[in-house]
Amino acid sequence: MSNMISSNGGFHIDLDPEAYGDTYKDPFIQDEDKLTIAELIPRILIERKSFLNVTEESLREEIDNPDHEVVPNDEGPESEEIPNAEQLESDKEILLSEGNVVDLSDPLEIFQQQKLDLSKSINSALNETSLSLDFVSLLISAVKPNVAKSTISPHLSKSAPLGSLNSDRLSTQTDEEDHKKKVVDLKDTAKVGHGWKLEALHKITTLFREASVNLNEQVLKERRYWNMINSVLSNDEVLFKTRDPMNNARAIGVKYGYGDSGSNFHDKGLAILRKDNQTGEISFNPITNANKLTSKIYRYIRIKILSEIDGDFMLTGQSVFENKFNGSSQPIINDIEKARFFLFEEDLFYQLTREAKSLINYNVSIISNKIIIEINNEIIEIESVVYDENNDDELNNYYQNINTYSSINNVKCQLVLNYFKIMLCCYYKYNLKLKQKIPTSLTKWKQSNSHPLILRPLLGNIRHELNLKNMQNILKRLLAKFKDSLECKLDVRKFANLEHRSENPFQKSIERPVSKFNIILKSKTKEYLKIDVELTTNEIFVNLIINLNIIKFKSEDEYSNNLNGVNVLQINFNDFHEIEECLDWSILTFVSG
Amino acid sequence: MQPRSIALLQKIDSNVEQMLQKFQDIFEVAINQEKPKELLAVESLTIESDALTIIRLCQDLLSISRSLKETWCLGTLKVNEKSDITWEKDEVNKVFDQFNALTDRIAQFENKASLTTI
Repeated sequence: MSNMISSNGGFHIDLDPEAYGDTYKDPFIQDEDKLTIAELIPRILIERKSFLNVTEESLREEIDNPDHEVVPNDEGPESEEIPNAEQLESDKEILLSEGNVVDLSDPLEIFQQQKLDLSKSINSALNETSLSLDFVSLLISAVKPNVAKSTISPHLSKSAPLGSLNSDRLSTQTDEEDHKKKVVDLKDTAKVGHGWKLEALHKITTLFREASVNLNEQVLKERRYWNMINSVLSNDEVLFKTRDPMNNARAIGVKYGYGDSGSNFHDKGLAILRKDNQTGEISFNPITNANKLTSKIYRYIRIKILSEIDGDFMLTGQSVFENKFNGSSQPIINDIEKARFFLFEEDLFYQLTREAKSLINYNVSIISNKIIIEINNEIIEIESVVYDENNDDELNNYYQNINTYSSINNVKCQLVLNYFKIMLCCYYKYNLKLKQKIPTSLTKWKQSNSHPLILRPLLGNIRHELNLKNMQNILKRLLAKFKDSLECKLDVRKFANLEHRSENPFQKSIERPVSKFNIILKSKTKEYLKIDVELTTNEIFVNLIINLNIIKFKSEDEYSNNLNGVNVLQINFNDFHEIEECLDWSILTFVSG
Repeated sequence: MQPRSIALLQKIDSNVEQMLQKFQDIFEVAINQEKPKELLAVESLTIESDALTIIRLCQDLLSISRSLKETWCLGTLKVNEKSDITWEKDEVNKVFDQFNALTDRIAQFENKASLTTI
């Protein structure tokens, strides 16, 4: 037996014993003539149920009328012969004949038979379903063509165009009733329709009213918002588009810092102008470079000067906090100005600490938020103080101005603070100029290696003044000592370097100071000694460097023409005692020689 | 004119036109002749939807004005006339002198402080 799946999906079973050849003996195909008695009897029992009804007459009758052979049973005794006959025409007939062929005694046969039936039923069910699906598809194709298109079979869609089938509910009422009802309906419809329309119109009236109120509010909010943005903009602030880190909404940011003005401080001074969704007003919220919200602790720089009075250090001056942040009528602008002010203070203190680090060897120390400079029995303290706008006492130094000494240096503190700020601006300007130049390796090197000059020039200038005084004292002492034997002329040129003026108005604090002392000594033997003392410092501004140059002339003519001068001494000093001794010795030699 | 401005103007025009059209539609549909019930039901809903469309279009107009303001505030470059000023020599000298005076003042000590040699 061979099972094949035919092209139309049904099962097709046929039997061709010849295909197996003579040698192959199928156990299911039995030659009835060769059956043993043990096999024959149960077989007759199955066919005839019982020997009771089997009589010679009935058998004879059966043989005579072979057409009736199947009557007593479903299967005839010779039914096995049928498949051996010629191929049957249709599949159906084969199926039927196969059904007849099946030997009910064999469970495998029964199973096969049932399997066949099952697949037949499934096939027919599938067919029915697809037919009904087609029907439904065609029916709804009038209303929902897209849904129908996806479910309808290609065959039906070819033969019946979409939307060609429609349905309607049939009225069960008679024509007369229908007509009556129609009249009533029409009246009702008019009324109901009227109501619906009225309802709809009423609804849209309220909708419009609400929308108008809403839109009006929004317009007001927008106006407030843009007015404020505009006032910020007119304050020459840099605005940019950004996202609010709090809710990732679109927002406008303001760049209030000095990043574009030459500062290389880590805080570029960015803030979000957050819109209040209720009122449309904007508020100022600083953010970091990484677009995160920050809450800043405002700190400002306070300068104190302590002086030694009677062996103790007493506070003799303190700078005050001057800014009130109410320059504008717009609070938002005041907020920005305030943030900018404190950003500058923060930057300044940062740069001061950086500078102070390199000055540790020169009596400068850093203790937490304080830089302490000790110089000439005075202490200058630069302190970063937390800003508390409610603490008027501290901001205005009320408690401090108690006696004459305690406020003697107030102005100076203020001036020092101003000086620091000017110097930082000067540094910004320098940086900005570097940035605007065509980038070369030199400008890049300058950019990465430049650092502000703030503390060093201050210290340098103070020291230079002290050194000048010292030098003058030394020279005065020496000249007084030799005034009997010598005619002397002292010429002092303070800050001789400033005689060549550069374009930068801050030259005095950018270039190291150079002061010159020219002394002309005239001995009684009409000899001239020209002593040039140059007082200067190195690039850290605080070291003392003295260049001494002594030239001797034999006569006045030679001196005035600067001819035949003998270079007596050319030497550098770092110490006042040494130069005093050296000068003393030189003049003494000159006097005696 | 920039293509962007033209597109904006066109959008405003079409918005206004649509608003007027929808408003007209509402009144056309509001007429209650011998229409079947189904049509009336649909029409009453159409009125509401038209009204909502009008409101949405209004909001659209508002957002256009907002984007205009944003472009104006953020997209324009400010030209500051003051930026190119060159300092006069006198002014530089004035600053120079003032700054030197300031430096001198902070570099010197008050007479009260006792001066001693180092």
